[in-house]
Amino acid sequence: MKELKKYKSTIEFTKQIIDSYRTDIVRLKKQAALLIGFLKKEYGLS
Amino acid sequence: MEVHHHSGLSHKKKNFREYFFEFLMIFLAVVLGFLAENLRERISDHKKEREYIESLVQDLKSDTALAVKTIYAVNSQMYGMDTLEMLLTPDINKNDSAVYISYRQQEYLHNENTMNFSNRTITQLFSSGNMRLLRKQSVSDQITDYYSAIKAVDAQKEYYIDYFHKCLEIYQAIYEFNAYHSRINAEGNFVIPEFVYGKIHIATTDEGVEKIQIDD
Repeated sequence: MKELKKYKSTIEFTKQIIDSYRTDIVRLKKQAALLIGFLKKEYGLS
Repeated sequence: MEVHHHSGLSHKKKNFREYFFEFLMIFLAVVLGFLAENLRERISDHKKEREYIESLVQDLKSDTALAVKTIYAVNSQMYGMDTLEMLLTPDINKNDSAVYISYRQQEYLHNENTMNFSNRTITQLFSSGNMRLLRKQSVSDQITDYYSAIKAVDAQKEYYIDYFHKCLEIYQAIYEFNAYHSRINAEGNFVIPEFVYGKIHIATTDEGVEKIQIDD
């Protein structure tokens, strides 16, 4: 039972870390899109 | 060797105006040369700046596309882990179907869905002092912000990988992989899924479950 509990709690914690990672990537994706738009405007890129 | 002097040429002393004119000519030649060189460098720097920005935009587009894929894969992984967590109850072995599904779901812990950002251009900009090519401070600031954000995400990725490996270390004690793998073909599918029912278990106690001999 101890191993199963440990496994479940590790999965739970891993999920939280993955969730943070996903949030970071979503934020970075938005930042990248904004940066693309900004650079295109500044340098007149198509 | 004979040297012929022209009899008409005399070494006349230069007056101040002539000296000044010569000086002015040399001065202008030097200044114009300097300005021309400066202009050439500026044109070259502007060209390089534009090339860097174009390359960076390509990197950002690749990052955006890869981020979409990674988010999709992470979402799928999290759903799989949710299901697995829900199934792993102390009395799971009473439900063959739950055991079977939990063996399938643990595969969500096999692949790390992380992404590597395209840092080729951004590294070149920072490492070789080429940030000086960016004339606008706002451009430089935004690129620096993005670079800092990448580093923060990469740090979070390290945690992800670390905990992912912790899950992998424990799961050997939970599953009976010999029994499980004897029931899947080269493509990773169960040959006859119903054979698995009642043949594999989840270790829910420290003592381990009773190992059942698989009859082939």
